[in-house]
Amino acid sequence: MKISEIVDIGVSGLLAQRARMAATASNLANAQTTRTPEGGPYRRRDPVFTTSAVGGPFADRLSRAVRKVEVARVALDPRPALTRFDPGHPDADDQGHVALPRVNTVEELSNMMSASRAYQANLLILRKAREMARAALGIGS
Amino acid sequence: MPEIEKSAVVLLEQAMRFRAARQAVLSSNVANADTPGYRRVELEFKNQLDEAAHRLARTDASHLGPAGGGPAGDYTLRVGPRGTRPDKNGVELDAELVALNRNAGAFQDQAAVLARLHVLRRIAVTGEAR
Repeated sequence: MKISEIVDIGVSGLLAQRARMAATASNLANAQTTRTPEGGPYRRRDPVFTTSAVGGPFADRLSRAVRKVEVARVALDPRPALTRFDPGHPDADDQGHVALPRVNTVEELSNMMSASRAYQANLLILRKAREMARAALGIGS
Repeated sequence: MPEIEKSAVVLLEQAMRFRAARQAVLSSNVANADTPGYRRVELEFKNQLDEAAHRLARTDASHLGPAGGGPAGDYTLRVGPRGTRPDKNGVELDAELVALNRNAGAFQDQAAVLARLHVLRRIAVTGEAR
């Protein structure tokens, strides 16, 4: 168990929370997007987190017990698109309905707050690890 | 070197090892605060101090001290219950952050004491305060 492993854990948390923030930003930015390369309206993204191992194959018992975090995959919203009656819209179908992304602004904003807070928590890990390393280095001086 | 100083150094070293290990465990909890199904981990120090003090009461200076051996085998690693949140995560972020802060503080305090012991030793050897 080394302090550098604590840093690895904190960095993994920062990356994961940043991915979550990016997904939220993408969802909010595309809340009205009706065309995508895969066809149909935009579908909201949601990163799914999973744990990952710290240290290499020769890690000690404690290093095997602690876990980093990583993004396992980015899930696409399985719910069907919202439809709105808007015959003037260029993407309206024959009946005048437009398929719109199912993005809920309140949901996205609360997600964003939660990601931002978790990001700060991971920064605290790094800050504390640095303080500890500095304190340990100060012993001999 | 007086025996009391030696045992203080050994105890502090053990305590700092424990603190560093626990910091990693708490960091793991914080990093995985949003991982579905993650169960929080805790490292326990139970009776480590007593045990270490007991082992220090050796009769011959040539006996091996408690400093040998890896840190992991000495502590009890406890995995918490599944969380009650919808994602089954058992981490309370605020509680983890408080613990993280306290634990790092304890490590720094111990490092400071150890540094003072070294200063004392230097004074004893050289006879000058700085």
